[in-house]
Amino acid sequence: MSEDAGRKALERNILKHRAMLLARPIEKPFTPPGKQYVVFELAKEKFACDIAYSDEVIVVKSILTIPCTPQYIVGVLSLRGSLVTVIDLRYFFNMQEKTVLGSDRALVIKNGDFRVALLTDDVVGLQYIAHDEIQSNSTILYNFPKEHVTGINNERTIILNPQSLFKKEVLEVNQ
Amino acid sequence: MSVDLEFLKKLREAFQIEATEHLEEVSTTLLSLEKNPGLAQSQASIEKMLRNFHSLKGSSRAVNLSLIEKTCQEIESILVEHKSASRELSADLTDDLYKLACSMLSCVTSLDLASGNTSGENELEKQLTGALFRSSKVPELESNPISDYVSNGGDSPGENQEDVKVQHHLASLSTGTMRVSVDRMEEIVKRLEELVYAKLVADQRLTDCDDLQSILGKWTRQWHRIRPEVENEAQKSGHKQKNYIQEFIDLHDSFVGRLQEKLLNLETSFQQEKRITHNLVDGLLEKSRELTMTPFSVLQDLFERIVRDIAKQQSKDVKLILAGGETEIDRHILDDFKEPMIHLLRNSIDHGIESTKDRLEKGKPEQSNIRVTLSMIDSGKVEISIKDDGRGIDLAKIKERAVSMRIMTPEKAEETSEQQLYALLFRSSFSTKDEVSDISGRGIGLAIVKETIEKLGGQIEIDSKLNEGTTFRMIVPVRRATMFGVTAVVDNQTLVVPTSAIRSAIRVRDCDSRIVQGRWTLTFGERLVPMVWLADILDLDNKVDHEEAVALICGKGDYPVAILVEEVTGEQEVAVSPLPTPLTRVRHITGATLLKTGDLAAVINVNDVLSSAHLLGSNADALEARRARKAKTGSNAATKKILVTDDSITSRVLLKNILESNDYQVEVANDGEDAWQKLQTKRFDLLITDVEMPKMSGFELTKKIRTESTFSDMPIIVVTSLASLEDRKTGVEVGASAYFVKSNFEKSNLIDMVKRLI
Repeated sequence: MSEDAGRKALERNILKHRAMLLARPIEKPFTPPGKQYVVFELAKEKFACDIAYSDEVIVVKSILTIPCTPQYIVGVLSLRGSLVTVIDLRYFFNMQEKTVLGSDRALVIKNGDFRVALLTDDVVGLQYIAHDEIQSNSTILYNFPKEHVTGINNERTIILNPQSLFKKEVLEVNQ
Repeated sequence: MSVDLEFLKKLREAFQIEATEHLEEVSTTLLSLEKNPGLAQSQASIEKMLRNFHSLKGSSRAVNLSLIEKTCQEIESILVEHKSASRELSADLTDDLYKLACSMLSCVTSLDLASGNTSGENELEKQLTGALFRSSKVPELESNPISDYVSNGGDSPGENQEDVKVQHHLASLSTGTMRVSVDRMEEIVKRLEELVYAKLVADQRLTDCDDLQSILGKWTRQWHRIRPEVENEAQKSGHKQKNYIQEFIDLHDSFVGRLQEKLLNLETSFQQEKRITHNLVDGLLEKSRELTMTPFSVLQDLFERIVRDIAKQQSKDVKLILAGGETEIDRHILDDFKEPMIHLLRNSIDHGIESTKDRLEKGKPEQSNIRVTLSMIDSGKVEISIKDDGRGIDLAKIKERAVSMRIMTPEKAEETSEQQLYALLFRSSFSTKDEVSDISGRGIGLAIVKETIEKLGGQIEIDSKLNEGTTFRMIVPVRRATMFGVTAVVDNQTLVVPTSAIRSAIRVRDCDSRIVQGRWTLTFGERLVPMVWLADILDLDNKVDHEEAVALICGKGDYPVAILVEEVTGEQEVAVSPLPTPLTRVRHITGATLLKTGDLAAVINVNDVLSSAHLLGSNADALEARRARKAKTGSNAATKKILVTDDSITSRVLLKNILESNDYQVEVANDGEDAWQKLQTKRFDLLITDVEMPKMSGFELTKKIRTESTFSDMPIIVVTSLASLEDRKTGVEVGASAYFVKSNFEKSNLIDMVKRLI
C-alpha cells in the first residue's frame, strides 16, 4: 500500500515540475485607457452611459402616468417599494420618431441622490469604450444638446454625459 | 397647586436628562484624559468640564439640589485654579473627579420626580470631602469631614469605584429616555404609514376569497340542478360507462366538498389575519403618530422674539401671553402652523395695535397684550386664539370696500352678517389695491393663512369689536389623521381624491344640471354649483357624457365646485408618497399611492384643481377652445383609415372590432399579397399586420412597403404571436414602426399605440 502511495506522490511531483517548466505567464491584452459603458438603443440610435452611473436594468411592468407633466416624463414606477420617475429621452432630445418602444427594459440611472429610469428600445449590454475613441465634435451630434453628450465613437454610439444630464436642475418639473 | 407639582415634575425630568448628559460628557473627558495625560490635554479637558459643571450648577440650583450645586462649585474652583496656574490635573485628582461625577450621576438618576428627594447624597458628600481633602483645600462648611471620611474609608477605594460604576451602568439603562434623531424617527414613521397597504391587502384577500366562494356556489347549484339528469342518462348507457360516470360524479362531489371546506377554512383564517393586521397596524400607526407630538410651547421663544422685534420696530409696547402651551400637537402640523401664526401675530401688532400715543388718547394702558390661548376641544382638535386689545376691525370700512369692489351692492352690504363681512378679508383679491388703512395688508396674507389652516383640515374665523380688539380663532387637528381617498376613474386611469376634500358625491343624472351664463352648473342643495370635468383640468380625455358622470362636490365654504369624473369605484385608506425626483411639484398632483390591487395611482391635489377650476370657469373661451381642439382630434379618428392584415379570421374580427369601437375606419386583408393590392388602390393611414401569413409574410410586406412603394413612410404595426427577440429584431430591421406581441395583447395598449402613430 505505502509503496503504491509513494509512487503516486512521486508521479505527482514529476507532473507538477513539468507543469511549472511549461507554464507561461498569461498574456494580458493591451487595453487603452477608457471606461465601461452600458449601451442601449433608442429610436434607432445607440447610446452609452458610464457604468458608474448605471444602477440596474429593470423590466417595466406598469408605469403610472402623471397628468400635467412634460412629454419626456413618462410616469412613475415602483421599484422595490420606492418610487422612480421614468424618462423618455427621445422627447428630451427632440427625436420623437413615430415609433413605439420596442422593449420593456429600462435603465436605472443614479447620480448621487438623483435617480431616474430611462426607457429604451433595447439594452444591448456592456461595452468598453476607450477615451481616444470618442469624438466630441462630430456633425452627427448637432441635433443633440451639446452639454448632455460627451461624444460619439466609431460605431455611432452616442456617449451621454451623465453628470450634466442626470441632475435635478435639468430634468426638474416644478410648476 | 397641582399644576405647580406637575410643572416641577417636568422640570426635574428635564434636569435629569440634561444632568445625565453633562455628567456623561465629563466622564468621557476624564477617561480620555486618563488615557492620554499631558498639559495640553489637561487644559482642554478643564475648559470642557468647566462648561459642563457650570451649566450643571445652574440647573441643579433650579431644582433645589444644593449638594450637587455645591459640588459643582467646589470642582469649578479647583479647575479654575488649575487653569490659571496652567497646571496639569494629577492622576489622583482625575480619579477623584471621576468618582465625584459618578456619585453625582447616581444622585441624579435616583432623583424622585414627584418629591424631589434623592438618595446617594451621603455618598456624594463623603466623596466630595475626601476629594477636597486630597486636593489640599480644606472645606469651610464641613465640621468634621476628615474624621468622617477616615472612619468610612475602610472600604477599599477600588471596590468603591466598582460599585459606583455598576450603579451608573444600571442607572443609565433604566432612565427612560433615549436620543434619536428626528430624521431617523420620521423615516420609521413614514415606513409605518406604508403598512396601510398590508391592511388593504388583507381586505382584498378576503374579498377574493368571497368571490371564489360565490363562483363555487354557483357551480354547485347548477350541478345539483342537472345532476339527476346526468345520472338518468348514465343509467341508460352501458354498464361500463355507467360505472365510469358514477365514479366521476362521486369523485366530483367529494372534490367540490373538499374545495368548499378549504375555502371556508381560508376565509376564517383570512378574517382572523385581517383583524390582527388591522389591530397591529392601527395600533402602531397611532403610537408612531404620538411619537412625533410636540408641545406648542416649543414655539414660544420664536413667537416672543418676533413680537419683541416687530413691536420695537414700530415703537409699540407689546406683551405676548401664552396659555395652554403644554398642549401637544403633531410636529408636522406645528411646523405648517408656524407661518400662519407668525403672520397673524405680525398682523396684530402692525395693524391691530395702535401707536402708544393713540392708546393713551383712547385711555388704554400703554402696554398692549396679545393673548395666545390654546385649549383642547373634543375629538383631537385644538382651538388656538390670538387676541389683541387693539383698535379692532372697522366693519363700515369693509362694507365700503366691498361695495367699491362691486362684490356687493350697498343694500346687500347692509344686510350681510358680520361673519360674512369678516370672511371677505380672507379673499385674496380683497384690499390688495389702493390703501385702506385699517385693513390694508390683510388681503393676500390672510388668504394664505386660511389656505394653510384649511389644508391642515382646520378652520379660521375672526371676531372683532371696534376699539376693543380682534380675535383670530382657529381650530386645527392635533394629529394627522389616516388619510382616506376616493378612487375615481378618468380616461381609463384611476385617480385618488382625498375624501376629506369631498363634501358629497352625486350622479349628475340625479340632479338638475344646466347651462347658466355660459357655464355648466348643477343644483346642489339650494345652490348653483359650477361643474368642471377633472379630465379637462388634467388635460385627459373624457370618455362619458356628463349625464353619466359622477360629481364630486369639493371646495370649502361658500364656493363649492362640482368636479366631474367618469366613475367612482370605491374608497380606501391611502398612504401618500410624494412624487420622486425630478418631479418637485406637479400641478394638480400631490403624490402617488398604492391601490388595493397593488397598482399605483396618482393622488389629486384638490386645492390646485379648485383654483384651476376657477380659472377655467372665468376663462370660458379657453375652455371652449380646448374642447374644440379635443373634438377635432376626436373627429380625426373617424377619418383615419386602417388596414388590418391577418390570415386568422378571429384575429381580424377582433382587431377590426377594437379599432372600430374607437372610431377608426377599418378594412381587412387576408394576407400580405391581398394587402399589397389593397394598398395600391386606396390610401391608408396605418397598417396593422400579422407576421406569419401565406403568400407574403408580414415582414415581406413591410419591407416591400418601405422599399418599393410611394407610401413608404406609412406607420406599420406588426402584431404576432412570436415573442422571440430574433423576430423583434427582424421587425425593426425591415422597418416596422411598432411591434406588438399577441400574448400580451391588451386593448387599451393597441389603441394607445395607434393614437401615437396617427
